[in-house]
Amino acid sequence: MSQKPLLDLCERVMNNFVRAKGDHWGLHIALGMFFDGEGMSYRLEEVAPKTLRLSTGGSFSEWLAYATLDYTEYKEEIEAVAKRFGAEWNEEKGELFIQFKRNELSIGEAYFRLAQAMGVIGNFRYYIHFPGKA
Amino acid sequence: MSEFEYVPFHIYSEDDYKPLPCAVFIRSVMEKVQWKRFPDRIEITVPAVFFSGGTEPFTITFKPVGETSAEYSDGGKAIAELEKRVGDIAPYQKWLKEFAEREGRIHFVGGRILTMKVWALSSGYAVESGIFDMLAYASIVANLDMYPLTYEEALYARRADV
Repeated sequence: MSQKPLLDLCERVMNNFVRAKGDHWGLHIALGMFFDGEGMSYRLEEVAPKTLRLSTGGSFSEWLAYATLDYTEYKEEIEAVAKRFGAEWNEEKGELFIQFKRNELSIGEAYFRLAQAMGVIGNFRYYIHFPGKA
Repeated sequence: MSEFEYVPFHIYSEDDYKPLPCAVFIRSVMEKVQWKRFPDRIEITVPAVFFSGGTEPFTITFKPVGETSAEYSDGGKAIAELEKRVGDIAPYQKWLKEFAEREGRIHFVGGRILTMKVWALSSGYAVESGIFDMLAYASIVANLDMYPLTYEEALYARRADV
């Protein structure tokens, strides 16, 4: 049985791994990451000269609100995990973000760091077992 | 044509107009992604953060199994990183077993290599999703000590530390 078609498919995907479109608010970046079928995305903005801010979109905050029932209860845990990946947590907006200077961190590194933080925090729902909490 | 086509739009910032075309962004990310094709598999390397806190290459192997299924594996990286972090992973074995049972499609080959099987790879998007899922699973396993354990597990882990 030939494995070539799937290898070809994988190679095609890798050639077009990143998908983005822009508007006057910044770049919207589609991720191949889903939580319960909901696609996640990033937004990239330039907040100061040579300083970029990569943040998770509304889909992630909606997912997290649904998954944890009330993510404000898990502020400390979310912040601790985010910090491990160099990300920050904006509780008001319910978004994870990385703000970085372009000479300190590359866009590619920030892209994957945020994906890792999203992967861990976005799965809190399944692994959260605090004593006294549901 | 995909909604996310490569149109070189620009960023308009309130403070300072600095064009950053899509192409620049895409190139910046793609510079960090490498893949190598072998006769039976493709090895995809992306930057990731594990024990050291710095960025290091993380290789995910994509291996077709049959016509529509494929396996992704991390080569044992996640467990190795967890070991570096906690020393002994024995207190976490129960959790790892539960994790594999809960997720269904993942298992640990030889108790160490995190492997995920995807059964119906019909579109290109699923390949991409598999890469992000593997990144997420590996991050969860490698950072297991950050996850709140159950009360009993926490007690057991603490006892093991002593």
